[in-house]
Amino acid sequence: MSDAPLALTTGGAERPQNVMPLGMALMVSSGTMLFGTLIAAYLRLRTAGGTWPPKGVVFDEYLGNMLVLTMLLSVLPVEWACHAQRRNLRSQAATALGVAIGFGVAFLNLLSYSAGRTDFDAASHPYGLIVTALCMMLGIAVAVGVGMVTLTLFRVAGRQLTVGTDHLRTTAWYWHFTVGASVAVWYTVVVLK
Amino acid sequence: MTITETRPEAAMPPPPAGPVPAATPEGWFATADHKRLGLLYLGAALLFLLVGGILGMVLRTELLSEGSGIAGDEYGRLFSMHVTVSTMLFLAPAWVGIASYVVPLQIGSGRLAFPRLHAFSFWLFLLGGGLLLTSYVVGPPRGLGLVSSVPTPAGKGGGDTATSLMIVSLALVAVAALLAAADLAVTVLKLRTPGLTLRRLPMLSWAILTSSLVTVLATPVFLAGLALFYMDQRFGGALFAAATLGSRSVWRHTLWLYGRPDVYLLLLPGLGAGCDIVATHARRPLVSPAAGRAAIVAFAFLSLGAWASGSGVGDAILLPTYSPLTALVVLPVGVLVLLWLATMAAGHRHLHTALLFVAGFVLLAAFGALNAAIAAAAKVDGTAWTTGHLHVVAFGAPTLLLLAAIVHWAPKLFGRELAPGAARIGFLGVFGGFFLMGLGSYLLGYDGAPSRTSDFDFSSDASTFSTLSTLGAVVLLLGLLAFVAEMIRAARSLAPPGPADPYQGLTLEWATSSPPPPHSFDSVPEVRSAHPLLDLRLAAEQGAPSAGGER
Repeated sequence: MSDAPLALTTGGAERPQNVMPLGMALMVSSGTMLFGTLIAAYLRLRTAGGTWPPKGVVFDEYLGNMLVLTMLLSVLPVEWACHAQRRNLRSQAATALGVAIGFGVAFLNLLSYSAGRTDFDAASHPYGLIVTALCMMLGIAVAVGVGMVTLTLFRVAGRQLTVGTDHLRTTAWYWHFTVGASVAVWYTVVVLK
Repeated sequence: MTITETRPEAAMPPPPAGPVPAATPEGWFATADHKRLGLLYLGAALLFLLVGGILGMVLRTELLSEGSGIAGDEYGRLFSMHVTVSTMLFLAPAWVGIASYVVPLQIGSGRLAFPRLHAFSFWLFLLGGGLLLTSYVVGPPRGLGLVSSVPTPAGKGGGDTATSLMIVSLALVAVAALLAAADLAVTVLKLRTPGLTLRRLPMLSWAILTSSLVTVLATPVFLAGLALFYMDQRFGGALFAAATLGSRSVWRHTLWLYGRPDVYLLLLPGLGAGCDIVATHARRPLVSPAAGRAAIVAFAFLSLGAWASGSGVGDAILLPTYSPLTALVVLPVGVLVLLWLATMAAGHRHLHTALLFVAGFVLLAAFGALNAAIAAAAKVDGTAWTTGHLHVVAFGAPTLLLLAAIVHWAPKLFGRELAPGAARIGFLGVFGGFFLMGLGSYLLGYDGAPSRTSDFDFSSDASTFSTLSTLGAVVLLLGLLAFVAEMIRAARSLAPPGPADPYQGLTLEWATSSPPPPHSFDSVPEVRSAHPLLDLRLAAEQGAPSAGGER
């Protein structure tokens, strides 16, 4: 039994560790499981029998296509921002992030508009409930993404990010996840029906 | 235009100099220190255990006599609350508490990867737990909650406040668990001290990493199910109405895919802790740590795979079955127990109190396995046998390992060891209580008494068996109270702190003082094997200047 801590050889200064990428990878994995479950639930209900979607439901495909197109286009400014940061072009990175935020806000606005235009809601029938759940989760995911991109924009504008940091790349991973989720939801609800 | 700042991650704050700051309530509230967060998690979990225990005692008291106050759905709801509180609000967060405290020390980091996120997860857990209890006070919630595989459809005019509150509170607790698990996984994977490769990771840290990764994957499934459940209650979309084709299987699958691994994950950290406890007190490394790591990974893999073992996924979330796939989990547990025995046989023979709890786990698990084998030949579906098995295998055995971990790491947690006498009284109460409760319920089950009902034929032997079970509950409660009282005494003691390394430990948490300073380590230690402190002692005996080489 020893009363004092053992005299270990020291490893010197603590190694800097960038924990953000791994944390984001886990977050994206969780998000994938979340959307995967909701989509699986949709498909289970769809194949369980009965009329699907219920009679009288008209889903505006144009709005659905525009929603997914908006998200797909938003990939470009996010990648542009990453590219600019790698080359130490702060103003370009900030501009690109601003454009990405614009796409995100446009998506949320269009999603809200679409919800008002549909002739069903969560209370109408199981189809309405699960479609609303999918859209609501997607809206939350994109809203979180807009928040993260905004935060990154402030950090870029405030000169807090260096060429070597993974913060912007990590934010881009999350954004691309939301794009993937919106494509999956679109394919399930609009294409497969 | 250039960006020139130093990357923020590189700027590590130097350890604070001077005396240790006093622990003020504000300090505890705003803390992001892994040690304080660990203690907060542990303390909150024990408080919820008290609530769960009181609920359990109410249920057992009801079963003592015929025709008393609680019956039917009311009994079922109370039973559901007892199960939910005891598992989701006690065992799982208690392990998060132990892990938050010990794992950063074991990996030589002394900090968490996302300390603020971890603190947020604790307060979210506390809020969720509080709301869960509140839901019962304002309600009670409809349906049988997590113990039912049949979803609760919304009533006329939509859901009631209590049910909605219950769903939201469960979601908050699940999100808290998800955040804490992600943080612990990143901490283990990214903040290990130089030289501490994954192969050299202490077994508790390995088990926490494994269980955290499973939690990260399984919890969102539960959250998706809760989201649908909430919307069904709130908006009344009739998703879970009996007439909606396929909806019941949606609920069962979402509940099951989370619930199955969750039941196993209550035990997984304990298996890792058991390995470290045995190795430390045997004063030698675990026999074949590679086999130990493989067994832990196999256990985690089977926990996810056991999703497929439910008969049509029609059983409830916390109902252990004895199907072949489920039975396979006995293999990794058996391998670990054999490793423990071999390590003890080859090492130092000294029965520390922590080992007593580990031995209690082995006996209780064997008792459960024996009854599972008997049940395979007997018809016990839907009987009180299930209640007994839950208490013995899903709750009792992991609780014994949790208490073993508390006894073992008490010098770090509280600054001193628990008094052996008090801890052993606690052991007798907890082990004996679970054994008697299990025995009574198993016998009730073999006698054909139904599960989760408040009344049965009191003229038969069932009455005797029920009394035996109630006696077990009383003994268990007394044992737990004795144990917790000893914990509080050790934590509040004004005596000088104990030695840094009272056991001649092997891993890095024993390289710092008891309790550790706020910065955990005075210097970041370098590791060249899986058991650096043992190497150091061997090197000192041989007159070598520093730690030993590869093992």
